[in-house]
Amino acid sequence: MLRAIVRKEFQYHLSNPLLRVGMLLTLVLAAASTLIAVQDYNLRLHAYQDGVATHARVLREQTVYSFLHPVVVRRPEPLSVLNQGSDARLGSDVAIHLFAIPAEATGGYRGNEFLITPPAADLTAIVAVILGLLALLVAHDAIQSERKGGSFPAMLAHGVPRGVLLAGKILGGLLTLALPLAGALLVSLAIFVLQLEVTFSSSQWLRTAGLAASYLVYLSFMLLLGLFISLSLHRRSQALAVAVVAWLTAILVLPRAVQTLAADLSGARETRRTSERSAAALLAERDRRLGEELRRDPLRTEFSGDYALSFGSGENRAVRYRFGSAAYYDALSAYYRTEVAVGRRYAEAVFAEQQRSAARLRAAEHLARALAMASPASLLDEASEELAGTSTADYDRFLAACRSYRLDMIRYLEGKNAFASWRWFTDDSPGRLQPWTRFLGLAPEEVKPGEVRRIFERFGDPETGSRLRREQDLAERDPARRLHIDDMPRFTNPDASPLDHLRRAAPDALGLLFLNGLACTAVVTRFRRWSSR
Amino acid sequence: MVFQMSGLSAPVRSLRDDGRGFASSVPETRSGDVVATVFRHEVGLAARSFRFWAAAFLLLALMLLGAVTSAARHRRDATGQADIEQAYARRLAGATVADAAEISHPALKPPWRLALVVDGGQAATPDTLSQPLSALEEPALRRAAEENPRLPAGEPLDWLFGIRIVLSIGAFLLCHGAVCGEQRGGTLKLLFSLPISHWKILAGKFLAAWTCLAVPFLAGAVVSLLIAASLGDLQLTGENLLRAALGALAGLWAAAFFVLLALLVSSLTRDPSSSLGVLALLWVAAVVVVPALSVLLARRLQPLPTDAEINQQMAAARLTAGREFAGEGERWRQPRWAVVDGYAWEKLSARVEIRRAALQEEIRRQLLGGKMRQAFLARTLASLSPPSLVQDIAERLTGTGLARDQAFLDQAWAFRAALEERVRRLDAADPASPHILFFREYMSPRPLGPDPLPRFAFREQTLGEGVSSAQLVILAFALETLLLAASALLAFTRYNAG
Repeated sequence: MLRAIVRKEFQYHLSNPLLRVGMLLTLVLAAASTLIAVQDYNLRLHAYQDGVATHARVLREQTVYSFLHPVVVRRPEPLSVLNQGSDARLGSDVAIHLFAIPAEATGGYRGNEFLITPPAADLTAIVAVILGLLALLVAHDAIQSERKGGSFPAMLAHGVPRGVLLAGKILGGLLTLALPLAGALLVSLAIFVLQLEVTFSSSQWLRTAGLAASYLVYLSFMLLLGLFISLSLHRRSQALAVAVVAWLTAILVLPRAVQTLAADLSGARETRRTSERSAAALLAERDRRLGEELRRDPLRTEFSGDYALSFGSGENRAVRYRFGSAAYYDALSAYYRTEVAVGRRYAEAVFAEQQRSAARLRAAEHLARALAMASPASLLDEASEELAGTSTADYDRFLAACRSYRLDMIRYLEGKNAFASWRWFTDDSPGRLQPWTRFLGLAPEEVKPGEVRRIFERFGDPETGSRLRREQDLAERDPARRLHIDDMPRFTNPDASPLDHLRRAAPDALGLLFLNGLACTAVVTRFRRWSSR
Repeated sequence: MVFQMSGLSAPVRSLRDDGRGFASSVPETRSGDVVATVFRHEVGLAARSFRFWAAAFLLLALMLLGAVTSAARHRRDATGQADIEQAYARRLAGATVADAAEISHPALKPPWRLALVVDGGQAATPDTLSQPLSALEEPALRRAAEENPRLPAGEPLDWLFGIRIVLSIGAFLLCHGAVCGEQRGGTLKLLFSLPISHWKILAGKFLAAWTCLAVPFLAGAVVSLLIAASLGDLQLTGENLLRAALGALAGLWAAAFFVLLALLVSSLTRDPSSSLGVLALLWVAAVVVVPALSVLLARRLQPLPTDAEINQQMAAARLTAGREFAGEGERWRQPRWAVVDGYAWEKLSARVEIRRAALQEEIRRQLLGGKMRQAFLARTLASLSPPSLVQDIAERLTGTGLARDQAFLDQAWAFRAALEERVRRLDAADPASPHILFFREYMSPRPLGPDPLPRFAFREQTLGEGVSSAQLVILAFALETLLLAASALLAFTRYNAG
């Protein structure tokens, strides 16, 4: 009997031209949004691959340890095609070095900042908005139309239990909604297979199944809501109007209003400003202390016969000296040991400050999530973000892996005695030093402080000048100067297990299930008291 | 057919009970009377309906919330920009002519003051272009005030959001049964049996529904303006009020369009539920499907180079510059050493770097131009949907949207040219300078002096420019509206009320 009712419901809904148009729109939109999302994903994947290759190449070319800053790049998540979440919004690159503990990622492919974001950017949004509306269209007159058509009284008169009737209605409606959902998923997955430049792992297939289940749970709630409205109101148009108002408020307006409220009124900017100022003050104090330390030995700062002729600097206090004397390099070594120790201490202090600010940002995020709980669409979005692996929790996990990698790198550098050796700041071989005075046939100590400029002017001689340039070019191209980094630790950020994703999605999924339970109870209670005449 | 008077709807009763007898009264009934009677009846019905109050409440709540959030956003953006201005002023204080080469000179696009009317993407698009003059530094295009990166950027709750989302659905909720509902109730047949023009009935219904939407919208507009003004982020000057009034007019026109659409669909269907279903799907197509497809098409028709391609182009520019100067660049010495040979290496290296920077800047500008063209194309394609067309009209009239972004980029680039000219002149005035522009170590160490450099001041589009740029889209929407009105009238007059 139940099967017959379900089949009747399914056929009845499918005969509704409105629903057919709705299903068609869903498929068109799913195809369009997936095409855009896949294109974006592929671009981000290329940016990731290029980034990894470029950073690896740059690392291999380094000749001193102070320049050894591996840049870790966050791999884009393929399931971001189904739920974009924060995968593309948050940064993807983290430079690993001594002087900062990773607190956030920067860079990454951001696309066209002037292009409007489509309202249904991914399949999750399409399910929430379009299929949510279709669910209400399916259910809004499911009960009243039967009463008006007289089929309910007839079925009850033939002894069909009310429970079976209601179950048939619900299952028939769900089956109808599962059709466009399955269609949209199939269209998306077909586009994945054809256009996505990666293949899914078994974990990703499992999570996709989890996403499909969460979509169905959401649609089940919307269907039950529609049935409740249908049971509560006698006129079909009245029921549909109330259903549309509920959809407009809960699905379209509330999530956006909450997002805007949280983004604009959470005081994130103030928090960041305060944190940035504190961090800047700490770094200024560090730089002042290090400046004083550098100036303590005149050999390190005054232009002399020992001074290195060539100096290069890079980000994160990277330095490289060439053509200096042993005395000069000893003096520098003493300074850089201090710089490393002081730099690490200040990195921790700045990180603690950043964590305080991050805690405020997280609090704003939690507030937004709590407020959004009122909307089933937000619950679906949160649950599917966790399942897709595009939530801020995944980003935090990546940052934690970066911090752990930094510690690995420090241990590696300590193992190489990098901080205490000349190799931190120069690639000149200790046994073959070539201070600039050698080009002029002098030893560094032969150049008196008052004579440095006069002696240096001898580089104006074309032959001496070109010999120096030749030596500089040779040093620049000399592969023997490069660091051997084959044993350097590699960054790993293992994928979370499907169980982890499920655990993180559980609160929001339970929220959706709770709403289902609530709506189901309300529908059953109402249906028991409902008169079919 | 027998009618029970008690069952007649109010307009029918009032037309018949005018005290002069039905037959004599009808020919003398002025159009205004019929329209007014239908209007009063429909307004009365709406005022007693849940649909009207739900839509009105939602619209008002959104507009008020929009005023508060846009004020907060405006303040945040202004603070972010003030920070940049202060940091720039600190850098300039006591700086030398040489320092001016490496300082990032910010061009700031002020926060859009009428963001509560129509934001036009200004809450998300870059508002700061920092341009160092040195060829060794790159310009940076970004937003001054960073949002909480852990939260998705909220869509601005401006009036246009209310118009596109709530006003449209409000119109559909109010009017979906205006014709087919009356037909079901039997009152339409009676109305059609009276010797009154059908257009008057339709006009009355239209005006009633439009008024029911216009009143909460205008109330929300006035209150949101007052809130924004009281929060200190919007000055109620004549120009601002005029621009806001243009935004409100666009909203009222959109409301009229949505009401006409609902009346048309109601006149083409036999059942209010089907009518609302059709309207809901039309809404989905117009507000969700068309913009999504327009973005997809724009990206296909106007593709952008990938990051890898840009990096390749940048590398090629570096190679080209190096080849043009036979690989003689990238040789820099400290000035005290370079002075020995009259900066010979450095002058050559500077020419290579300047050439490389010019080629790379050209690539950057082409990329930005491509992005703007793609965005303009997406907007144009999206304008096939009436809500997006209204958005476009409102943006053009008030002076925001992509045109504002384009104007900002153009003005910022012109600002850089003016800066370069000024610094070049300051450096030329110092005979001791090596005059290798714009390389800090090889320029004049003289102080800049008080207020020596031009400052960027963004010039907003004038009202006249806005109106003139909106002419075509206004014409397009006017044609759509007229067509819709004619179709609604035709469908209504031919409606089978039996």
